[in-house]
Amino acid sequence: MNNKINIQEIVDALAERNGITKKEADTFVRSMFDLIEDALEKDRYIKVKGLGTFKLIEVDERESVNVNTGERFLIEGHSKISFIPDNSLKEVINKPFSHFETVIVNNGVDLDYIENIPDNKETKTNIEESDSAPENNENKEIQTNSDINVKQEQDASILLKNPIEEPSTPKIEEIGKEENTSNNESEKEEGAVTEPSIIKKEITSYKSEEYNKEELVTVSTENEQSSIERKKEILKTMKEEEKVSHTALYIIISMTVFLVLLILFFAYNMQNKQKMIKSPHKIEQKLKPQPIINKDTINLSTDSTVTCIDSVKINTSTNKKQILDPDIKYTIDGSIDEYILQKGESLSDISKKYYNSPKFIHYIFLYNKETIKDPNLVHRGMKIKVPRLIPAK
Amino acid sequence: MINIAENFNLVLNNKDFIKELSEKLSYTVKDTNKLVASTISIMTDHLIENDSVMISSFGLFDVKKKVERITINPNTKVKLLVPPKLVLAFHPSTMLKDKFK
Repeated sequence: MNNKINIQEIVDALAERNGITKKEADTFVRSMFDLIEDALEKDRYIKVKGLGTFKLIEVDERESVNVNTGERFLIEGHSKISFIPDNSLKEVINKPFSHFETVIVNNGVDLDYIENIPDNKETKTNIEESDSAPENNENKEIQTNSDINVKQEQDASILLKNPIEEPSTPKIEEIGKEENTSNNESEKEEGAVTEPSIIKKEITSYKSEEYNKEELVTVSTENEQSSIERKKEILKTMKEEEKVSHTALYIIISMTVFLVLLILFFAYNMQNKQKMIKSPHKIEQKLKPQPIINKDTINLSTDSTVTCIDSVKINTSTNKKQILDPDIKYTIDGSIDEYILQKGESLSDISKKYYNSPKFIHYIFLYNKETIKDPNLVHRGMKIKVPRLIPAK
Repeated sequence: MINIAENFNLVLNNKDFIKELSEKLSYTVKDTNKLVASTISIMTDHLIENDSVMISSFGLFDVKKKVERITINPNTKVKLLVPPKLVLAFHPSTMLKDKFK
């Protein structure tokens, strides 16, 4: 099996079979192949019965690249020997497999399945990649945001530090602490991503305390703004959390942080409600002792106009929020809102925003069929009409 | 190409090949025919057993296994399962290759 048979063995067998001397047999076999060679050279074509046809085929010149050096070089046109075995020889050789026949495959599902498996994997990884890329960008944006916040805090801290601490009621302090812890959480997450020094963390956490108080002042000027910002913060922290998840190590960290955040989120909701009730009282307290702060807060509020606008947007969206059960069928009845896609957002993000669940993408897609061609391919700045969903009868 | 070549009688057919070989070795055509046939049958005997036959200065005959595959007829879009098969392949020796380059 799988041995190499030499010309000598053929000669021996031939001599034995035909009763001729080995010498005769040897010259015969050699001259036979020599003749094939000669005939090829002369006629470029020879057919030997029982063996097959030998042919010379012209190969055109072509350019190729040296694998090692990368240089281009020309392979000159040449002739190539082609051998096509005789039909009878072909059949004899293929005898072990001759009982097989070409079969028509029905449009089998299992076949498609086999072919599709690698495709799915590829698309999955693609999606992951495309997801992680904008997330990184967002992350950077958020970091710059927090930098701006820190700057604002530094400006404000000088003026705000002493006067606010005195009038602030224990309740506000409590809230401040709560917020502080949450900010610490978010900073820890950022720390996980950016790995700043511990000192920096401490500084930022201290400043965030200041920032919280400053926030309260802005609350006094615009009633609901603090709650909006808080919501935005929560969204931010949630987003950050999603960002961390792309490396295996951070997944574990983010999971634990997520649990903590969930608890904090509910705590916030409770406190927000409390605050809404108590906010007028706070305004009086803060405005009376410090008229100077108001000026600062105005400056600050102009500084943070960008965040304000954003938060207002979110507010309007949250007002129009529908909390729906994803298991029921719905019909579309007009639109609630028009949403402009931000960088890195997908239809499922909108679905989450308006319906509290990403499962309503297809309703959004159906409603925006004219603008969206592929629900997986939406880009920034797209105007998306958000449908009002009514349970189907 | 084959037909054209045959029409112009440029081709060394099996008949011509045997004739030329017999003249060269001063055998009868009948004997030559017999010897060629038996040489080839010896070769095929070895090839069937999955051996490769090396003719020095000429080339190597060996049997290759082609695995089963699925093809689609481009005209009818019918999917076909092509069974595995054994195919005789010929690799010319470097000497022979260079000669025709």
